Parts: sequence; C-alpha cells; structure tokens
Amino acid sequence: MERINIYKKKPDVAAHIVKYVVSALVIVVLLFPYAFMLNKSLFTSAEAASVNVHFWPQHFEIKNYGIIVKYLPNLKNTLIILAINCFFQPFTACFCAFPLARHKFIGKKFMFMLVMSTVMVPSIILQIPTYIMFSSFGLINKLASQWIQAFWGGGALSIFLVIQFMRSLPHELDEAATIDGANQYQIFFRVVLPNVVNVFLYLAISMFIGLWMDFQNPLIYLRKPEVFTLALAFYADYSNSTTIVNQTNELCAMAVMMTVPPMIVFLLFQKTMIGGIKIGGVKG
Amino acid sequence: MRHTYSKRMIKNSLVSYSFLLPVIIGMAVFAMYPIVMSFIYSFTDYNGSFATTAGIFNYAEIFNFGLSGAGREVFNSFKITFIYVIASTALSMVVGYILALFLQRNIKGMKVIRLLCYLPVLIPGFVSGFIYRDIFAYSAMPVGNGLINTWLGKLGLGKLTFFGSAQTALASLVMTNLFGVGGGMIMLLAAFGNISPELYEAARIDGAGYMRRLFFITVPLSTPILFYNVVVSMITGLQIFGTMASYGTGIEDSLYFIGIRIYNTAFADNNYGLACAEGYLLFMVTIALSLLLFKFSGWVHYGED
Repeated sequence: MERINIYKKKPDVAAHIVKYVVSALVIVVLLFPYAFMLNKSLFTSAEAASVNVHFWPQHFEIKNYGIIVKYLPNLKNTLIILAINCFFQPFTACFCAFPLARHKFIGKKFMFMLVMSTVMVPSIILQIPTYIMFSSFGLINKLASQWIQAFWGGGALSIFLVIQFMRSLPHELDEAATIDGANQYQIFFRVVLPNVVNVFLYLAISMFIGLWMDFQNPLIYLRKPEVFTLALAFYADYSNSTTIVNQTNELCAMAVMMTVPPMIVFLLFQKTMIGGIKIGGVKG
Repeated sequence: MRHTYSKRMIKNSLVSYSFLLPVIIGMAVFAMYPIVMSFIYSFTDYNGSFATTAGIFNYAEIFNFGLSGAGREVFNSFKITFIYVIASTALSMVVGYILALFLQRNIKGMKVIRLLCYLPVLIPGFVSGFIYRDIFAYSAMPVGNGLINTWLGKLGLGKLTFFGSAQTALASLVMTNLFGVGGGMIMLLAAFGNISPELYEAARIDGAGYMRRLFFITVPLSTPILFYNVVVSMITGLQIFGTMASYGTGIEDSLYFIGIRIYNTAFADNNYGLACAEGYLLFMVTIALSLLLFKFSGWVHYGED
C-alpha cells in the first residue's frame, strides 16, 4: 500500500490541478442559470423590468426574500403529501420489484412487460378518465388526490430502477437465507430490502424533489387556495403574466428559496445515495 | 407448446404474485381503466362532456395527408419529437457519463462540487423557462436581447438566434437540457459505487491502465443503469410536454412536439376523441420502439448472467 503511495505522489499535484480546473469550468457553465437567478433575486423591481440586461445586481435588494412569508401557510399541505409519497412509493416499488428481479415464476416476462407498458402510455390518455374517476370519488380539492396513488408500486420506472439494482445483488444472499429456513417475505424484509436502501433513498429523494416543485398535477385537482401546495400557490401567483413582467426579482427570490430544502436533503443524503449499494452481505 | 407446472412452481408463483399485488391493483385502477376509457373515446367525437357519433373517423383524420386532414401536421410533430429524443438522449448520456466518471474521483471538496452540479436540477421547471428566456433571448433589434447576445454585441460579435429561429430552436432546447445533466449523473455515481473495488484492485495488479479498467470494468458493469437511462430518456422524451409553459409551440412551430399537439387538440380544440386517437398512435410508437430497445439489449450486463 505504502509503495503505491510513494509512486503516486508526484503526478498527483498536476492531476489535482487539472481536476480542480475542469471542475471549476463545468461548474461555471452548469451554474450559470442558477447564478443569474440568484443575482436577479437581488435586483430592484425597476432593475428587473429595465431593458438594460445585465448579470450582476446593481443594488442588493434583500427585502425581495420577504416573499416567503406569504407562502408559509401552504407548506403544511406540501409536507403531508411529501411524507406519504416519499415513504410509500419507494417502499411499494421495492416490494413489487422483488419477485421480478429475483424470482422465477409463471408469467414473469408477461408481468414485467405489462408493468413496463404502463410507462409508455402518454399521460394525456390517462388524464381525463382519471379526472372523471377522482371527481366521482369526491377527491377534487382534497389532498388525498395527491397521495392516493402512492401505495401501488410507485410507478413502473421506479420498479424498473429497483429491479436493475436488485438483479446485481449476489444470489448467495437469498440462497443462504433459504437454507436458514427463511420464507420469501423474510428474505425480502431482512435480506433484500436492507441491501437496496440506497435505491430506496434515491427514489424517496427524487420523489421529494419532484413533488416539492410539481405544480401540474396539483393544478388539475386542487382549486381552492386553502388546499394549494407551496409550488402551486407560487405558480398560481406568477402564471399571471403581468405579475411576471413586473416582479421577476421576487419570482427569482422565491425560486431560490424553493431550491433550499431539496438542496439540504441532497447534502444530507449524498453519501448514502452515491455510496453504492451495500453488497457486504456475502463477506460478513 | 403445452406446459405442465409442478405444484411447487405454482405455490412459488403465488408467493411471487402476492408481492405484485399492489402494482396489479394500481395498474387496474390507475392505468387499465383510463386506457380502456380513452380507447373508447378515440372512436367517438367526445368533447370532454358528451359524444354524439362513433366510428374510425379520428384515425382516418390522422392519416389524411390532404389539405383538410391533420396528417401532415401530426407527422411533422412526430418528426420533431424523434429528432429531439435522439439528440437529447445521445447528448445527455455521453455528457452525463463523462461528468460522472470525472466526479467519481475522490478529491477534496468533491461533495460540494457534486452538489453544485446537481443544483440546476433543483430550479423549478417554470422558473427555469423564464431564466433561459432572459439568458438566451434573441432580437434583431439592439433591445430585447438576452444576456448572451448582449455580451456578444458588446464584444462586437454576431448574435446567436437560439430560440428566435426555427433552425436553431430545437438545438437550443437540447443544449439547455444539459443544465440538468446532474440528475442522471447521480444515478451513474450510485451505479459506479456498486462495482466491487476488488475488481479494480485485481485489474490494477494485472497491470491494466485507466482506459482498460474503464472499458472492461466500469462501462460493462454500469450498462444496466445506462440501459435504464436510455429507456427512460426515450419514453419521457417522446412525451415531452413541459416546454410548452416556457416556449409554447416554438417559433414557426419548431417545438410543436406531439405531446403538445395532443394537449392542444384536447384542451384548446376540445376534440378529445381526436386527441385520444393521436395519443394511441404515440402509445403504439412508444411500445414498438421500447420492444426494439429490449430486443437489442444484449449489450446490457447483469450480475446474474
């Protein structure tokens, strides 16, 4: 081990400089829109509306950020929807992916294709019949319209993703458990599920980020301001084109604030998400 | 071919299906039922509240390439959508993979670098549309240009048309998609983390250089996720619709994707029957292309094989 380190020392300095320079370039390009949004959130209203387009703010109008107070009442609705979806969607996705990834059973290929075929249905085909169905269930203007679909496998793409990860787990894992007399449910909960924690978290976090910002689905089913989610309330205020032209600075301030919670979640779970699926089961 | 299954196989299958129960119920209620209803609507002149006649007239309309028919417009939308899917899938896969390979290295501050790369994904969709407009706006006049064209003007260079011309609008859209490349990158990093370090160690001892390790270990073992990304990118790309909030149908309908056309047919023209027929055509195309992808997925390497 030590020998390798000694050999590596010299090229490391140059390699490190290259890595940081490339990182910096990539970040400058990728972050350009975000930086512009951040800058614009500090523009005064006159500055934002002026024809003189510029990048750096000429004033630092921190008070634009006061806009968040207006949306705090909507936060509760968003949090309820998030809590239910972020747990049950990944969980049922793992549950349903398990036999498709690790069992041999009658009609497996057919079931897989059937599940996958549901992704291919253009959402427009589903929209109106689903709306009619939900309104007959009395789900319009109810938060339930936003979480009722959380318990049914979390969507084919989630199931497909979990399958891809479960298939890479060594088969010795289940075989050892079977020899120990475990049934399939025990194998799922004790052996397979703990080994796909990272995918679970990945799905939960994507779900969090997606739902946190989604306004299109709430827009269809939630019409009363008191059931608006945060994103929908924000969208409803700014989809009015005159507001947009006059207050892009406040729009940007709110948008910056909206990126903060997903950012924190991402920072907290980055290691678990990227750290790789724990395949330590075989060794220890 | 006649199958006889052993009792054990049947019992095991029942256990397997008990795991699939949630998705089976979910599919029946939230997919099959709407699919069947839409299929019925596609043979009627349903306008959202009632229908008066039934027949195959909606499908005849789609394949009517005459002046009165919708054929030419529908197939033009399909053409634009195909170009978009191929270009954006290829570009975002290649760039995402290279970026992920690079960000896989453990150097000081990598956590922050990854977060910064992921940050653009977190901008709310309808907000990013406004920001891109501010950045890339093009106008033949001195005023009304976005940031980039203002800067190019100051440098005395020619302006770029971006979304302002039918020739460059689609390319500009594919380019702005790259700001979201951090999303797919995260999944690739997870897949790289899944590869056993012992493989690299063994390869290093055998004297394999970086390129050999890349093409004989990293790439083959990340093919399941690459395949997932191709499938998802194709399917979601075919249904692309979100651009409507920022760009409408694009200049000279250059961004009039099939998803937007279906939406407009349904909700602007209230012709839900025709919209469902167009939707079904898109559905069939998606299924055909997906089957092709799965048929030619021999390059995907699963641990079990």
